[in-house]
Amino acid sequence: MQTLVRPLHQGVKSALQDVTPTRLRLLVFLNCFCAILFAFAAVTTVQQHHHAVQTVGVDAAPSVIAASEIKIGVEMMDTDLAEDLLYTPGQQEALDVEQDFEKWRTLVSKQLVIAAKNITYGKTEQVPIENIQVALGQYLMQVQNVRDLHKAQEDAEALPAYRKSLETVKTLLLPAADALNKANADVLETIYAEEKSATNLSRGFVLLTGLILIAVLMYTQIFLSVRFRRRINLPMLITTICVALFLQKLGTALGDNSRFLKVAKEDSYNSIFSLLNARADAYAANAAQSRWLLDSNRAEIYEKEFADKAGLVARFDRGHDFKETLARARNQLANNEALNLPGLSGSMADELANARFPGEAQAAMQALESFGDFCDLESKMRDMKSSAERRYAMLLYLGYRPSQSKYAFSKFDDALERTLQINQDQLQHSVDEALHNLDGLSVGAQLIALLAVISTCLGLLPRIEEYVHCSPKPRH
Amino acid sequence: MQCEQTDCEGDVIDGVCQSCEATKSSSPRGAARLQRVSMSLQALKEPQESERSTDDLLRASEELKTIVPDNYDAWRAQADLWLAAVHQLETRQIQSDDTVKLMGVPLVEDRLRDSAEEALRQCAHFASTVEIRVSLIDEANRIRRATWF
Repeated sequence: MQTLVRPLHQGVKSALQDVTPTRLRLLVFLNCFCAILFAFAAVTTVQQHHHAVQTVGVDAAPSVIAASEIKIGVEMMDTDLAEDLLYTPGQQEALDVEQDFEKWRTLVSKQLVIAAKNITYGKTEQVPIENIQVALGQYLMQVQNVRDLHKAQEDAEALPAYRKSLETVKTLLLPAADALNKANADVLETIYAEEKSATNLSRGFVLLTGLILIAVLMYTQIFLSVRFRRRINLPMLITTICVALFLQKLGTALGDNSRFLKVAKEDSYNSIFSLLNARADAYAANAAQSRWLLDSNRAEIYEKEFADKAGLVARFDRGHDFKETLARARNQLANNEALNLPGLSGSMADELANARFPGEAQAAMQALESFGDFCDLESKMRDMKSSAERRYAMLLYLGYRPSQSKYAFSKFDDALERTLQINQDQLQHSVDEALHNLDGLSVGAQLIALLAVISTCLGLLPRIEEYVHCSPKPRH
Repeated sequence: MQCEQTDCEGDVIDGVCQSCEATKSSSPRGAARLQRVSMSLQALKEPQESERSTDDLLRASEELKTIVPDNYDAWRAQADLWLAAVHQLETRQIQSDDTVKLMGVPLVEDRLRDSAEEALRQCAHFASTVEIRVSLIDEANRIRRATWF
């Protein structure tokens, strides 16, 4: 043991005593160690950034969107079924509604496949997808039964059958879609919060190791210049410049990556999440409205359901309403101010507070305005309680004229779709840019480390050799 | 019997040329001459108020020319000659003159530095310990002329 400790002790002692060959060997070790540490830190940090972007933009966000689309599709299938029952069998409008039902059924099936293909978090995602798949088959059979009874003019039996299908929607399909949504949304939020602090920390560490490497390379350069009267050590100089340039590129790329990730998560995804929630709740309110017309025995339940769901989209404190809030928002936009709408809460309030991209605030305001019109028409409809008025209420609900409910709802949906599209495009763009930013950085860091090791050998070994062979070096 | 070396007319006794042997630094006569030269070189290194002439350096150079450097002291003496010249040039005690040659090296700072460096590295080959060898290479690097690479 003593024989092992002694050379080490002597080495440390001579390094401290500034013996040139020992100091040179120490510099070789230090340069190589710092280069390898830098490469390790850089590769780890790049992988961490990649993982964060992959989780937010590729793994979780599309699954959250797919889950919301499933929820919206199911709500619309229910609305179409209720409306189907409001029309006489064989009527053109009834056929249109059936076609619309098919459109939503296809969308749900496609989104289910997208969600299944994107299972990343195991059973928390797989189980809800399986439940949706099983419940969807059951629901479609119940829908067919309702339709058959309605076509056979057996409406007295069709309504309980409809209620049964509605129960499947409410107890199986929507909770499973919510569970799928929650599984991905929770993971996304957790990983984003973790990765955000971790990536900042690791970015700081990689920049620190890079600066240490540059400092060691520069110290070596100065040491050689003073001790050997050789002004420049070319391999070391080239490496120092390469490390400095790469560090600058790495710092910029990682900074840009974090910025793009922030845009993707906080600006785009959060808006998408709010918009999808607004859309799902608005569709649920719309479905409640159709059920209010269809099932008058349970009108109070559906009226409350409408109020609850509409309140999740946009709710106003006392003294505030759609008109006042929209006027304030327009004024703020005209003055290029950030939107600050006191008294408004709900998904649309979240979206308006997070409107960041060109045209987004305008589209969201149009959606809010149309939703206001839709709610106004709904309250008019609620006042028509007698059977004669109820017929007029049906026209008001089912009509596509500017003063009718479907028109306002379609306008709301179009504006919401435009707002969603703006955010989805930005999300995709940010994720692509964030991933593109990291291209080649891992390989670059490894090459830089290799260059530093090679140049250290090329730059320092000939100087160490002088002390071994004592031979005069050729002049330059 | 005469020595077979060109430019040597010394007598060979017991297979050894007496004249050639006298020029070797390792021989007793060579060592004595070397010690004399070394002492005069030490004196040259010491500071002096008035301007020096190159005569002392040339005298030492002529003396050293007659000694074949085959040990540490001989190379050290050669190096000291050039180091003294460099020192005197640096302190402006003498002026550069490429017509004056010390051991065949013109009295120009860079050329003297090159030769001193080479001599010190040669000297390092004969160093008795690693510490001395390291200090000689350090000295060679300290005295060498500054280069870009």
